[in-house]
Amino acid sequence: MREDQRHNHRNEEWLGGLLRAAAQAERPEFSEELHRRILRQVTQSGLIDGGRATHWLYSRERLRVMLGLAGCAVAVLLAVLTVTSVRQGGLLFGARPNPEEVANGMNGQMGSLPASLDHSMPKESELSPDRSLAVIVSTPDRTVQQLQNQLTQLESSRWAGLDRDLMIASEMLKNQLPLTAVAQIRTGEAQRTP
Amino acid sequence: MSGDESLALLTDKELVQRAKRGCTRSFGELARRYQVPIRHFLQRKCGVREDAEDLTQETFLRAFKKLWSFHEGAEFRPWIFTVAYRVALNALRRQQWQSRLENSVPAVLEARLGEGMENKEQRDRLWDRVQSVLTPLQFTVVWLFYVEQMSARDIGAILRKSEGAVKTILCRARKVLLPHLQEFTAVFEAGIDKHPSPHIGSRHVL
Repeated sequence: MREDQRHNHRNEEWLGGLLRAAAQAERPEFSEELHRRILRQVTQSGLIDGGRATHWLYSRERLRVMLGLAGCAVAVLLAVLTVTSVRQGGLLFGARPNPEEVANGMNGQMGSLPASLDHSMPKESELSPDRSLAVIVSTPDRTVQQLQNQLTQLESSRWAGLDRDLMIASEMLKNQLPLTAVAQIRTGEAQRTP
Repeated sequence: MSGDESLALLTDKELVQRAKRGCTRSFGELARRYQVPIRHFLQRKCGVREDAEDLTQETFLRAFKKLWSFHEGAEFRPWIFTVAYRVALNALRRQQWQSRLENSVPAVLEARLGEGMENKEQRDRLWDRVQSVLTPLQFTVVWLFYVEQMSARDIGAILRKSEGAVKTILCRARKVLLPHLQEFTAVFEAGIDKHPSPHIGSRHVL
């Protein structure tokens, strides 16, 4: 065992010595011309400025600055995408609601809306003329308020632009009511009444 | 004491620090120190002397450009050999590609086969024999270990291999080399007795 180790060690030494000596024998001389070429090339590479290179182009600082700029660009892009998606009522990065649930929700809202309007609008025959006018005048405001409440609720859940539709619908409803004509009639009656 | 002489007194680390700050003279001193070993390695690796000079130039230029990525506290020698090794691999790939285009034997292979050399004496060189029996990777490991006397760890860093893998490669290379070199030296010594010559006599030292 020890003999084997000694033999291996001898072989190793012999091999090492042989290879080193062979390499030494064919080792090239130092070439001054090549050295000058190297220095000239290094100088011509555009990195040198009067013996002192402004090494920013090849420095870690440049890497840091580039990474920082790239990070900022990504952050700005994400912010823009988020804001755009929020404004459009879409859920860009969140889970989108199930379309069936949205449809059911919309049906439920639309179904309950006329009922609430019916309750809030008493019949004109049950009221006195003055009171009925007040009711008529205040009805659109109340309707709009109710709609806005529902809009707020809807906006919190952000259902596929339904808030905008409801806003438009409420505006249309308000415009359809002959509030101006009724007001003129009532004003005329009031003027004629002593 | 002139400027260059004072640079010669500095260590590699100090020279690298100065070169990183843009001092080309310091880098020149590093190039002066490592020109011969790098050129020798590239000459052996790629086969042709003229190519080796160009590749040495390319190695130092690339090293200068990549000096910013050199870690503080690291050794310069393994690092510059890593650059040289990469340059050599690229050159060999180019050679292989060209030879494929021209449908000819690559220069490095010619060198390894002993063809295209100037004469028989060159063909008989010990390192030519080593290159002919080892794989390129084994050759690189053997060269860096025996000639440049680097540790297995440094060689691993150059070749991007673990220390254990380098030791395994080295062990296998030794097993392949030993019988070949024993035979080579035996034939060589027999040749000396028959045809004594000054060249061969100098190689008897091997």
